[in-house]
Amino acid sequence: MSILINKDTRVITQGLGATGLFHAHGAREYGTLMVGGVTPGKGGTVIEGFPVFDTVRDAVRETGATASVIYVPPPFAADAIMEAVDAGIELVCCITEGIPVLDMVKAKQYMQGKGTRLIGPNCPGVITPGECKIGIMPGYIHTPGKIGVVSRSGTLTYEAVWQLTKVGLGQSTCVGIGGDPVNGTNHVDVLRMFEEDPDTEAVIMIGEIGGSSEEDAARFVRDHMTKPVAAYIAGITAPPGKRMGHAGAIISGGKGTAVEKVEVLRECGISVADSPADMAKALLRVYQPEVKPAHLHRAAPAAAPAALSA
Amino acid sequence: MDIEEVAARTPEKIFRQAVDPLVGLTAFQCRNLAFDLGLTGRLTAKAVSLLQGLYATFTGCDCSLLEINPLVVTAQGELLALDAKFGFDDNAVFRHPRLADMRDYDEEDPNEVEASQHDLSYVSLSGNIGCLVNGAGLAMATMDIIKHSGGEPANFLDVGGGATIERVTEAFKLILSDRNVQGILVNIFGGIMKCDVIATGVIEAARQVSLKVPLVVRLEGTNVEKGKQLLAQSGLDVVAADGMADAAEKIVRAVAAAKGRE
Repeated sequence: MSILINKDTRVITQGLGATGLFHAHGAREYGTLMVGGVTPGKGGTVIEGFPVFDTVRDAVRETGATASVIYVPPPFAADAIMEAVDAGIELVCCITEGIPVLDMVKAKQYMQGKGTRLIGPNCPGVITPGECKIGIMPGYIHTPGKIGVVSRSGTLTYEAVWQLTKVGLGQSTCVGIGGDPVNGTNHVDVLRMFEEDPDTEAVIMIGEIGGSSEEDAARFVRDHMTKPVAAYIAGITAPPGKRMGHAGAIISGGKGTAVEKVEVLRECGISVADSPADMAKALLRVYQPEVKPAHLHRAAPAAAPAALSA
Repeated sequence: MDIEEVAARTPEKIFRQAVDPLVGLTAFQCRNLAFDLGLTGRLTAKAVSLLQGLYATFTGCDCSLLEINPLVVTAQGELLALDAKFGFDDNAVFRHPRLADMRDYDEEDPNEVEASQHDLSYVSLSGNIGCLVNGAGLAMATMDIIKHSGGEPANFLDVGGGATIERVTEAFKLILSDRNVQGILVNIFGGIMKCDVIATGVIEAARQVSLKVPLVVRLEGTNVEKGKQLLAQSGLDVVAADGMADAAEKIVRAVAAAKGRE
């Protein structure tokens, strides 16, 4: 089991350009039900096996899609999100990086009270290993299992997943919430879903400098979570006032430092990794899988004993 | 007035109104603020038009910050902005060409300007170990692990998803333009790109810039063994690492050893 998506999720791609098409193929090869795409003006055609529609509304009606993934360029991406919301899509993953903040502020307000969950923007997407992959993450590093992963960073998520897979711990679902200051889903939203998911046993949460999503998440863990949580916060060495790649990764007015976040996380009982190389280790400090990891999943049998004893 | 100091010492003097982005700043919200500020009579009406103008400017120019400081009441009973500070959303500059023209690159770090022209995300720091990473989060984590291993990072550099020869070459040039750099750590989580392709790119880039400082490369992903083999056979002074911790330790050691030889 999993959160957000599973093997039956039907997905359309908004923005079937070169990037969108490349990742639509990747997702289909992984086993995701990629049922079509939307490119205004090209409705009725079929591009490389993907039926194309003019509007999300048409695509939903014809394919029964409940999820969409957005690769539309930044100036038009917020509109694409709102179009998906209007068409009643349940889950929207917006991969696009560089959307103007005020566009996102409007889109987010537009979504209020409607039934759509937005993941991202500026994120790798969501994957339930072995079942469904929506986004740009490399599928093969994942293993099906019981650990939930939630992160503001793409490649750092891959790093955590890779460490988990190497110690024989599979993942239930991995959610990249994105590096923008205004996003659809935050750490707390995802933690709540993991807490309620019967097949997630523990969680790794990855954060970085800027904002207060991690602090809110820490207090949520303290007050509402029964499952063990480990964390890593990137940016201990980041200087104040400088934007570190992600639009939301900035220490402003002395607020949002990694040190501050780590302190709050620890106070709330979360196992924090001092080094990004130790994310899986930090989890194993608070979580003992019932079955020996090496026997749980056959995908990474050779690596498991060595990595565990290290 | 120093607003940070006001916030710290007398937070009750800061007045807030939350704006619904689909409605905008309303007249009653402006009046609330005017009365909060102690304005009376005709000045409140003037405050409403000033504040709504301020909001229209903020949204119309895609500001991230718009500060009037100080705002004064003149002897003639007028509201007057004596100074202002603007911050703009980088992501929205494309729809404000006039604002883009006003950008003064002389006020910015030349390396960071150079980086932005090559679509690289770069921030210079004060250490001596340069790093080249794909992904912003992993790039920050790489700086952190260098520090954790006893070194000092010289920069933040996110080379983005496509670590091609051209981009890696530009990134190397940028890192080496910092004279403090005594070693470079490359940390690439292959993902969609194959490690042998990345390794070829790194080797070619190192040749093009005739790299003279120690280079440690950590690759992860598809064809990682092939990638390591290519690095080992390149004839360059390059060390392949297993994992982030090993990579950080190796570059810190290599830089210390190079210093020892001097």
